[in-house]
Amino acid sequence: MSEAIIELKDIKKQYGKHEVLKGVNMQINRGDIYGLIGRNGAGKTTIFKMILGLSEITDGTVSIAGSRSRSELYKNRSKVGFFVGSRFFNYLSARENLKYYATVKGIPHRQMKAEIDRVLEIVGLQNVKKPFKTFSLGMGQRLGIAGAILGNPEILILDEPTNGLDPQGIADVRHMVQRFREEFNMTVVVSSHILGELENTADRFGIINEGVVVKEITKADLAEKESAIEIAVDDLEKARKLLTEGGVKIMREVEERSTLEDYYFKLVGGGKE
Amino acid sequence: MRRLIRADLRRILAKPGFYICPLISFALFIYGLFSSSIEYDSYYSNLDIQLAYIYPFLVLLPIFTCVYGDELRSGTMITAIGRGLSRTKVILAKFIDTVLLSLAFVLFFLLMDQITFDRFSVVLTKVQILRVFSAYAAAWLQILGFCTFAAIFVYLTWNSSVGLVAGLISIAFSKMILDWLQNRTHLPFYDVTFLGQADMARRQFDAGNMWMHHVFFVLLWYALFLTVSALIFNRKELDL
Ligand SMILES: Nc1ncnc2c1ncn2[C@@H]1O[C@H](COP(=O)(O)OP(=O)(O)OP(=O)(O)O)[C@@H](O)[C@H]1O
Ligand SMILES: [Mg+2]
Repeated sequence: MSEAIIELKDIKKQYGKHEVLKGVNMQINRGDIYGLIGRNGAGKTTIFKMILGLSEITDGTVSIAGSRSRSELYKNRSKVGFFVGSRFFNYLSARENLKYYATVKGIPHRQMKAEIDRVLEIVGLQNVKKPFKTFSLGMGQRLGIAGAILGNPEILILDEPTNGLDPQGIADVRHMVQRFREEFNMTVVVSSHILGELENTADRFGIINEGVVVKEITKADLAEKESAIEIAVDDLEKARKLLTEGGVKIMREVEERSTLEDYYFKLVGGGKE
Repeated sequence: MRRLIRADLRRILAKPGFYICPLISFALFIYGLFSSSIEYDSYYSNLDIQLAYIYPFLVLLPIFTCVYGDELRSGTMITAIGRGLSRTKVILAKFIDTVLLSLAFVLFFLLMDQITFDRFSVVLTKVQILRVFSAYAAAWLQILGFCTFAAIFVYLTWNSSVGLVAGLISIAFSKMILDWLQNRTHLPFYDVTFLGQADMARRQFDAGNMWMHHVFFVLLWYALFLTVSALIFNRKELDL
């Protein structure tokens, strides 16, 4: 049994009459790279807001690192680094902005410079001196990730970190996320609506649709769920019959290994043209 | 909370725009230094207007643009809240930012006056010094009151300009309106407010009477404003 580091129990969220989350149950285990998947407006960001306390929970409980009370929850939030869009002061440089973050996070003054150098190096912004307002979208995202990993948090939440990045940037983020776990032992929760992207990064997935997590699945499950080979037969009907009678359930007829994308659309309906 | 205050002050002091208002007053001051000379009586009679209208304006402007405006624009407030700092503490941190920055401004103004006195070799008696001091201290309490009151509107509308305008309007008109109401109705409309209480503290101090309890009432007003802000902010949706 793996240890839950973030647990959501029956989380409900209503904006006026509009019920955005209708009882979300989610378990993120220590060491996971957890991919949160859902279409635009499915409630991914809302779930993160509940975890981080940025919005009032209508009903249900959030637990971080085994917290059992409100005060423990508040305290344990300090173990979480998060990126939910890049939020920086326009007039400050990357380094000065990170200094603000580091001070708020309580990183001791002596270690601050080294720590800022370290994270800037990781995201590849070590040589940028200009103020934040001149940053490109991609640079902003990178700085946001740098801010999130300052102080080496146990848990890292990334809300659509690849939004607006070019293919190189997307690949970079993927490598970073893997590195955060392998090298720094972080548990990473990352959301995206680009399914192929998450498939290559995460090893557990939560699929959210219409306000509930429809399914939590591991990468291994995904591979096991269906396996397919391409064979050519003379009598397709007979082959189907034989397989079925022999206790083999034909789930689909495809030539390729099932992707996360296929699985997703089967689960929530809709699909690519 | 201490961390947030430290981080805030650092980033505010690193902003060139923050120094515009002090620079303007400094320029005026330099101009004053080389124009007509002053003597205590005319200085002291002008001081009230300056403290009641001009200085509050010069203090509110940078505080609302830097403490609140930049914060809301950048959305960095979630850095502290997402790490578990309660919203009430965020409000307190902003209040303490305001206390420290406004104090710095007031001391700066006081220092300029002192330099002016030196320049024209005006020597103040001890009583005169205390009077100047109490005038400044009372003005500081009132400025803080305006800031804390106006901050409610920032939390309400999530817009620092609304707060600034609310603050400037109350600086410009509240004394006049409350005075008028008080004279019309003979009810202590002005006297019970933080403005009236700060004035009274000053007057009692100058007269050598008990003055601390008036300051206490001013603090109660701050507490009231902060509580209202907290009630509003605690329910606030932080949009991402
Ligand atoms: N402050 C708010 N007031 C009212 N409704 C809101 C608010 N914030 C979000 N919503 C609604 O909640 C739903 C979920 O939004 P959310 O931002 O969580 O989706 P998402 O999965 O992050 O989508 P995206 O992929 O576009 O980022 C949407 O229907 C949105 O309109
Ligand atoms: Mg979102």
